[in-house]
Amino acid sequence: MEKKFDLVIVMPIGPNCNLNYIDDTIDSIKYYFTSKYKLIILDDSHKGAGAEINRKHPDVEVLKTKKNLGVNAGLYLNLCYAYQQALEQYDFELLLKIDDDALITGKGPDQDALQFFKEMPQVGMAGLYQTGENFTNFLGNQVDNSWPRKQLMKDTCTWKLIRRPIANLTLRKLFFKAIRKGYEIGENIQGGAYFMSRACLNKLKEAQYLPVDNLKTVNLGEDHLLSLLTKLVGFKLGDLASGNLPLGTTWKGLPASPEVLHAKGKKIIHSTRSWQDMNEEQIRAYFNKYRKHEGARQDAIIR
Amino acid sequence: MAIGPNSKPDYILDTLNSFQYYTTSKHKVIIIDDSQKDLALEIKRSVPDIDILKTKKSSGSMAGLYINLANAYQYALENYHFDALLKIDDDALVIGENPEKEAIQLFKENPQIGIAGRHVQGLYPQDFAGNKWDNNYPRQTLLIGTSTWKFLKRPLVNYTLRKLYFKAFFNGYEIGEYVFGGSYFISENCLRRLKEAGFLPLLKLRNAILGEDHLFSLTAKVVGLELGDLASGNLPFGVAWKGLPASPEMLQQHNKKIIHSTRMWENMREDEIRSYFKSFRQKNKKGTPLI
Repeated sequence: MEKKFDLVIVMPIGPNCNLNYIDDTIDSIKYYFTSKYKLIILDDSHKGAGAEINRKHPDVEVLKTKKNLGVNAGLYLNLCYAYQQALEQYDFELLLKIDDDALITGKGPDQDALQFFKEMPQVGMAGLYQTGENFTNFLGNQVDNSWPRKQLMKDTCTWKLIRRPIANLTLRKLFFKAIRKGYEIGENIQGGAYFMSRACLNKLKEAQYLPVDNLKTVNLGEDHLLSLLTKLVGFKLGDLASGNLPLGTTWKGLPASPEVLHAKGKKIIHSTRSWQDMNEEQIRAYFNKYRKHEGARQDAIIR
Repeated sequence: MAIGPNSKPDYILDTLNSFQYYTTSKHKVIIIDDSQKDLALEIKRSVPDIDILKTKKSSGSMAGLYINLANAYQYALENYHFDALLKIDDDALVIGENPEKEAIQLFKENPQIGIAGRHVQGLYPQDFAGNKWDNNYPRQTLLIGTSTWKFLKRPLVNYTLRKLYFKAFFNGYEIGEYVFGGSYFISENCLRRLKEAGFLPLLKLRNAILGEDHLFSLTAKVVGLELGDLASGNLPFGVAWKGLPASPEMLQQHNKKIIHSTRMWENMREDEIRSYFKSFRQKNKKGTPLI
């Protein structure tokens, strides 16, 4: 029988992962999430990192990938395997995909997302919604989104298609169909952290897009591919990042200083790798201190 | 204002009258007469202060209209200086004070905007009244005509279109986005840039199966300009492709100043719609109507 959860969390980890940082991200999830959830580690490290995590967190499920397929479309294939497993084993409302360089920094982002998807069942995937050549983030800064736009056009509509004919022809067919369903070229939900509804994942599975094996060599990220496929199966992409909405994510480094992220009420941030002169160690220490401080305050209140 | 063989002089005069009545700016009216029966001369008898540009042969709508309009815009650039050029169909109508005010302000504050009006984006965008627009046509036409085997059906025009589309795309153009052609404003800067780029007109586009509005919007993006919104909420455009987007009363409540198309609204015919708005002009008489 399927075990029932509000949320399934999938965290892929690769060969270069840092176990301390993964531990820190898992601790942040445990500290701030209030819903019933199941954490799945998709272990693509091929050096036993998953087993190591399992020793410390026995409640975590570890799925080992058969072989390391790298990032981009390779990650898409591996993630689809994890999403299929989640669908088969668990009954859940939402799935959160979170990178090991993302962090939970505020209380209840899971509840915010559950509420959001409840109110908008037409949304299949939500997070930092990126559209157009440039878009404006929650701080009013212009963010460049030209890469997936150019890649899609070049690989599906120019002679460059023949560089990877099978993958690009498959992509072209999906891309053209998606345009008819209202897909805007290059629009996507950034892959550092995003939520997907079970209904959307079921539709993707029915349409045999979990995964489309022919896409394994396309030059697009898993987030670009899953966003395109989400539109293709008739769902919308949702925004959980503008204004004071809970996601404070961007591709490289943090989108703002830790203080600003806190002040803006951001609850899931990505990437912890850097912020200006701060390195990952310092960023994580900042938020860890915050958790300890809050924890101590709560203990004092209880006592 | 472009007029064709099926245009009705009474309606053309009514539209000109509405513009003259409500606008406070110094302006010049140019009529592109594509009627092939000297309709514009008939109009000039009632409104002497207009320029008439007669076309040699009827070019139809779509890209033919694009060529005629581009020639007219070229004429306007050569003969006048202006803050904004208003393109208005003969089934559009001005129903509010200073319809040009917001456009001139928008172009001044945002010189990167070249064309403004009802900015249509996406597959089914909604207008101020909650109506869904089906924007499938330009999206599909562009994609199929420039990136599939159907390209070969009209190789010359589709090749030209493909080059433009890719250039525009890399400037941030979203497939199928445009400013609706029933009525829109273009800045002089935009027209100058289009002229410099050789797009006034680009004759190779004459067989394109896209509307003039799709083509002007695309070429505006090619020359690095943006499309502006003057239709959402209470902004002045209340336009739709066929018929009005809302009842005459609702258009007034939303402070709409330029509406399209006066052809119909539910059971109301064009005569009734026009007389409804004309009665307001007569009631609020402040200047001398043209006719």
